[in-house]
Amino acid sequence: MATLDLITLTQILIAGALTGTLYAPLTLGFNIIYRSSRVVNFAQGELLLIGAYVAYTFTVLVASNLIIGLMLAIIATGLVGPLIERAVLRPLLARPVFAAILVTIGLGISLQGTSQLIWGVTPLAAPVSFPAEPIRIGPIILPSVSVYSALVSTILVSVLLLFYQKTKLGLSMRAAGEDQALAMALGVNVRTVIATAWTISAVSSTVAGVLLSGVFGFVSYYLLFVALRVYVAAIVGGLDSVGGAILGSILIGVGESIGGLLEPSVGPGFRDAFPLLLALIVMMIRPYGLLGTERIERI
Amino acid sequence: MSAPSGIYSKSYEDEIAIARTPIERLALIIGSILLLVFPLITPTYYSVVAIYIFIAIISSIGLNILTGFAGQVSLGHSALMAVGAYAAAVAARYAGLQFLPAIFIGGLAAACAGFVFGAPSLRIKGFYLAISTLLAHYIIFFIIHLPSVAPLLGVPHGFILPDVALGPFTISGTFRNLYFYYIALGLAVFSIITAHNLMRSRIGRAFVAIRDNENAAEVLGINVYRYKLLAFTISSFYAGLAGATYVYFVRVIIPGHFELRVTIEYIAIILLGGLGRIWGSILGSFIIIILSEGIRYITVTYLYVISPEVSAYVEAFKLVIYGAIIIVIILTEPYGVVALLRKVKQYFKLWPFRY
Amino acid sequence: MKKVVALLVVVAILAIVAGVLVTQPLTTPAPRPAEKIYVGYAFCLTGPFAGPAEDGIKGIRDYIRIVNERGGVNGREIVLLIEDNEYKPETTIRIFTRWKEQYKLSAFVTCGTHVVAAIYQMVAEARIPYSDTSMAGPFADARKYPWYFPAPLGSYTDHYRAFLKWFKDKWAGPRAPRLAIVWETKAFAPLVKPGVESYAKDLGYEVMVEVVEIGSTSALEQMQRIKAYNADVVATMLPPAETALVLRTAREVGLKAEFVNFLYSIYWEPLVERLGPLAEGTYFGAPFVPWGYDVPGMKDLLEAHRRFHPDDRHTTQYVSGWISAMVLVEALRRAGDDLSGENVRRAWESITNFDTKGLTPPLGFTPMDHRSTTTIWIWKIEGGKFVRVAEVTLPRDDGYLGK
Repeated sequence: MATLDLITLTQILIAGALTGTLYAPLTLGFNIIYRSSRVVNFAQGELLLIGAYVAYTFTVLVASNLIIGLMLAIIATGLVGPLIERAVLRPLLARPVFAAILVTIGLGISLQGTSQLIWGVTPLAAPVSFPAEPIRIGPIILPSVSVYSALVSTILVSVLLLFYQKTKLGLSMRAAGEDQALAMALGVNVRTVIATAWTISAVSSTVAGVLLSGVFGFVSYYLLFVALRVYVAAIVGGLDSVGGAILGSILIGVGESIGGLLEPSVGPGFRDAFPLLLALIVMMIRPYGLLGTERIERI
Repeated sequence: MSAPSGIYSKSYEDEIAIARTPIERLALIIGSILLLVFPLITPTYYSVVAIYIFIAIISSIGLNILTGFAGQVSLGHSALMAVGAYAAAVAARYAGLQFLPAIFIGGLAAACAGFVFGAPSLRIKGFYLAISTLLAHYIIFFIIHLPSVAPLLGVPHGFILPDVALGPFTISGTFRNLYFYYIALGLAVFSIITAHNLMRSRIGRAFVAIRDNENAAEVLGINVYRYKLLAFTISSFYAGLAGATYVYFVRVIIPGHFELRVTIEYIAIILLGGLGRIWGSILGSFIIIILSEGIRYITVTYLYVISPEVSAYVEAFKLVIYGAIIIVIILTEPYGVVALLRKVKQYFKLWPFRY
Repeated sequence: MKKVVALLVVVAILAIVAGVLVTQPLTTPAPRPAEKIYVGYAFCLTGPFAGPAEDGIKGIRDYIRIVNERGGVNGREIVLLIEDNEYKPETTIRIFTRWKEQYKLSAFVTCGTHVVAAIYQMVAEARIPYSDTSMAGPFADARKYPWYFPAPLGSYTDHYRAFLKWFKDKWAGPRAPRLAIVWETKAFAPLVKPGVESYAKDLGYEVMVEVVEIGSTSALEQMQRIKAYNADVVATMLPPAETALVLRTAREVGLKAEFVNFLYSIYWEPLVERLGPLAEGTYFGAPFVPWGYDVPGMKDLLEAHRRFHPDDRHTTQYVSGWISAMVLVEALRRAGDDLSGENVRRAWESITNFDTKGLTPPLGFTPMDHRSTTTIWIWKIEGGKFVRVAEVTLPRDDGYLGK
């Protein structure tokens, strides 16, 4: 890289930000569960995998129409939320949060097995195949998947924000996120809140699964590797914030791009390492993430 | 003749003894004898599984001190094990150190790394802290794989450790696993006793105070940040010790031994066993390792009755069952298996009365 | 009381598990090897490579089954032990310890380069011939790893070297051809890239190196640099998902270069189908034919398919499993009645010019060199099919053994 011209820089920043939106739905799913119940969901990657497989089933095998297929997939994964809440999380209400965390670890292992049981081990077609041709704006190249993902993520976040601001359930979710015990005392049905959180999380993981499998063109186990960066993105943005999930994801994407740009001068693998450094810096300055709320503790 | 009921100590020595009642003393003696003769009367394979359990105990005690006692969540545990393992390997290979000094160096190196891992805990709390340790994990792996470092550490071919030597004795050949069983047992017992004593000392009490309420602890005169760093350091020492022992056991060190999934497995161990209890680490290690071995056995022995063809389809059941058992155990006893045992103890103590 | 019942249930579960563990070796007393040959496969039937492994193990099973039906090897039946190693070194170690004790293993086979790195020492100390689906060049050096036999399909490094040699030979450009190597630093590629890089430089290529790590979702910067470099050949040493990503991104940035990919990331029919047009026109080196390829040796495979699983779909992985079983059985046959590890290894190394009826070039081993062959076929993907475009024979003694 001889000189860093303006076009390259713009390209890197925009493409990076768009790539970042690929992680946004998944991070959102993670944040929402954390926000509603303070549970760190170690099964987020598995939800992504299952979501992608379910979307495959409905778009490729069941419905011939793509839109109908995706709708069915979203409805199907939406049912997973209440199921998980009823089966494994409700007994742990008002129990130590660590128990629920362990449950998500067990859930992750089980879901991984379930996916292999149902969908086998051969890579399956991606539910949506995005156009191979990138979108060009002048000299700038934008992979079509990430343009779609930016669009989808924006819609997803808008819908969620509306849901949080305008509906009663959204309000109770916010209340439960502030203080679960207090919310319960005020008559908020925390069970419904947690079930809704898992539903939203499963649905947005499905969206993420559709987008991310589109990057590679197939669905298989490797999606679990991709999912690992969700924790970092969630932290950067702030664990309890919807906007933070998006901001964090975009920052990670941009960080990766910049890291990739600097790779020749720093060393191989810097593309993956730079976002982590970025995250560390953010955490040093704002320990609660960029948009996370700082909690004031009382004795 | 008129001995008071309950547990009654006549001296301070009695009060702080590890085994305080005749039953406990008896259990200790019988348990010790069983553990000592176990590898002599069972096939080597059992000793090997036991070695895995011992190493898991050492490592999970470390994690339990940090998470269970001091209340700091970490996702960098396997990276710290890697630091310990690589430090021991380097010390053994390039400085020609023997087994015990080498694993001790491994523990110390991990402790130093843990000190750094813990540095953000001044400002960062809860899961945010866990992620900062996760970042440290990635950074350590980035360093291990750097082109300038990797060849020195034998990445990725694997780095072969010398035979375990204790003074003039070199342990190799047919009875290697047998001897290693006793070494691992010794290290596990050492870890259990040191951790147990440490946790009922001033330091342990301070950890618990910080876990329960940081601000209150501060008010009580505990230097919270210093004790948090101490918790990270002590915890990492055990991690490093376990990592070093593990690579000595398998003879070869590769980064693949210390992937992120290993950390998650250790988190599962301490959560399943019970947080804030040394017994929790012991039980958790035992259950998780026996479970994963046992389920593979059951798969091979029984599940293939339905379909004799070995297939990925049948193997998938194994994962489903494994995850399900973990969930069932924790739903039965959200505070870990240790709490369940305590209830049983209570039940027999009161028997034949209900309460 | 409820808790106590729950405890009893948990104790009962653990007792059953422990009971199974304890009684297992007692109820099946280790049959002495007088009449049977034991071969252990700790295969990755769960985890990222479960797909290829599942079809591979079918090929192995079917071949061994046929051998057993025809009276076995020197009148002995071969017993296949198969377990899932979960793609983890520690699980493999536990499986190996148990088998070693329970059976007199004549060979041990695993799957995964990192597994080889982790447990070679242990298997070597047990003096058991050890094989794996991995073909990483460094482990093929029998002077350093005398007990290890890579899958009998050449070595990864040679697959790339053969292509580079072939490409260089037909290169007519005015300048030296430019090679871009795209690798990852965490899995198998570090064992492949150094050998390929130095060979390319020896041949007169100009070389640049880029990294795409496992789990990446974009490789835009790397591909743009490769495009700016005007690379003529891009050698990818990546797992399937990252290979797909690189091919897609290369198309997006308009990179016109020949691609030579990693065998296990492209030479598998389901993957080629998924990749579709992205895979078109790319190359890879592999010394064996795909499923259904018209060679005399394929007849047995089709026959096995028809007899054992007519409904299953088979792939290149089935063929490679079949070939590795052929070589294993040949080694056991040559070992005769002495089935000790030393003797099987010696017999294995004595195989020369082993004819697979066109499935592979003639295979052979030496006590120094455990690469099965240095004759590599270059394949191109045309219309979703594998087309053999060239055969390249590399000299065995050109200094690239163990690289």
